[in-house]
Amino acid sequence: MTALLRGLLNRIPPVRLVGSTEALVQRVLLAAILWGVFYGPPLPYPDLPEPVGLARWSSLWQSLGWDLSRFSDPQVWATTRTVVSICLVSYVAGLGLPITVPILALLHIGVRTVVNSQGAPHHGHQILSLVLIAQWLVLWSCAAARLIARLRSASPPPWAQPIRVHSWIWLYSIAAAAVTYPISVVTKLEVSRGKWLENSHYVAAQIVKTNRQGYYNSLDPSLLNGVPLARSASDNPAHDRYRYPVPVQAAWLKDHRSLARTLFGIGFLLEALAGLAILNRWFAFWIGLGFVILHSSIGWLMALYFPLNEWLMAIYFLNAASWIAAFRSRELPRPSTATWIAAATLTAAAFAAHGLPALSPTATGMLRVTVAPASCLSAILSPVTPASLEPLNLALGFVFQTIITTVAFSSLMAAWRHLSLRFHRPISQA
Amino acid sequence: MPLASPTPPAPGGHLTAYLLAAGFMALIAALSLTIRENYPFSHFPMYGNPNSRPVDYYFLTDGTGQPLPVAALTGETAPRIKKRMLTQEFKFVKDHHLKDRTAIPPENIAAIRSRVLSSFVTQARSRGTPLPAEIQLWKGLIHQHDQGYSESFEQEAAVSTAAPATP
Repeated sequence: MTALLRGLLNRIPPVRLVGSTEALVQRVLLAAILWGVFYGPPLPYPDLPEPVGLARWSSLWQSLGWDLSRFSDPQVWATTRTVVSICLVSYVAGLGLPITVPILALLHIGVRTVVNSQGAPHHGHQILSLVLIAQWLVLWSCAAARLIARLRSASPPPWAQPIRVHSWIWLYSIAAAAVTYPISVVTKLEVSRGKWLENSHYVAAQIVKTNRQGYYNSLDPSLLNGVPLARSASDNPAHDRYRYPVPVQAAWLKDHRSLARTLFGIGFLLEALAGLAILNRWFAFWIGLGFVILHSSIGWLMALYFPLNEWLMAIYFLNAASWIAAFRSRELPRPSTATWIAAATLTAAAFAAHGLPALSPTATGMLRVTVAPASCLSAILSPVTPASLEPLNLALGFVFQTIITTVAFSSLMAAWRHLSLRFHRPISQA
Repeated sequence: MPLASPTPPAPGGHLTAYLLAAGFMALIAALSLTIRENYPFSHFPMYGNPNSRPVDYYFLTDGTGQPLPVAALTGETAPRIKKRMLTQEFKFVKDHHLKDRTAIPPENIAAIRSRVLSSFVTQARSRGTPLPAEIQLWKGLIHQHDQGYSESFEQEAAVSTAAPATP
């Protein structure tokens, strides 16, 4: 057993070096996300009725002459956006990162703390704050090690060399994003007393709920398609005006319990294993692709979106720039031209099918999942792209998805070759 | 500008890097599961306990029962109505040392409903949104049967928007 464990551990490669272009692409995309986050109007919350996190330390903030609810002040908000703009330019340029990243992290945490202090916790932004905290820790650890070495007139340790910083930022960003999922798994097991998987088919009823909530947000009639509700003897006819059809997918999952458990079980397993993404780029790629598809499917099924999760997966887990760099430097075997053509054709087919106008809402939602990686990149770039350049966003999304599909094909073919060699020995040897 | 640097030879003990990253994840997980809903940490409790009980959701209507678009009216999404009520109910349970939310007396539940509805009305008013004379809070319950889903509804609270809403 010890030998087996040692053998497995020895197969884990060292943390790869992240090139400067790959790091630049990651910073540009993360900066675009942060710009989008701070792009809106001031927060509509003049007070903090249910303080959480940093907002609980109100006496500390008052002693410092600050109050987190001041983010709702238009002047403070304008100043915040100016500071964020300067920090983002510096961040993209890679200048003064140990100063700009903590500022960005603190501002993001501050703003979202105000939102979550209104008595209705939102769970879409924690992942971004944690990624910023991870980058902050990495930058300060490396800067501290270099400073100490300089004070001792010694060389900094190898891990703190500037060339390694991009690698640690990549690794710890993945770690911070990935860990949010096992946390959710532990909570599921705790709250359901270990019966989450067994009862997971009941999530189908939540699809009806999120669909209803989506409708009452905007009264969008397109959310009222589906199959009729069943009647109950105790139904009050006066309330029939609120009895809308049930989404087809909710009814279907209810009727196919085993399949529902299997589907939700796959998502549960993916969440449980998310931490393995730190082991190497292949683990990160397949786990990230799994989550992009998972979140996109949840968006289709439940009208429940976690865009930041998907976008961070696209940047750090799928990480198209790293694959291009690895292929160009021949660190990894270059995919054949046929593989690229097949990937581009498949992506084009998904784009074309997704754009078909006369499909049912269910089919449109399902096809949206097939272009999820491309949608991620286009959505990340959208806040920083003028409307006139929207076609460029689509084109970049297409290129991104083609690269991701090519990597997936290459990985699957390599796995197939490996298995063939392992199990298909020549007859002479047999 | 180099596109990529070659992976260096494995230094002795390179697993330490992974152990530190795993330790970082363990620390975040431990903090999140301990301090729970304290931003930027969370234990992510959503959809944690699927079961056969009816699933509830809330929506707003005008005085005649006509549904109102929650997001356009208040700047908040409809799920936040329930989240705010749950936060208030859990706070009540904690402050009064009750066993769980089912032990909250009906009059206190009604007071919480009215308070939450009033907070949304205040928010809508501060946005300058035109308001109907009365806003009602409704609860929808989704029941799960062998033959499909059915729904029942209850009016939970109503406030007049003529006078400033009580905080």
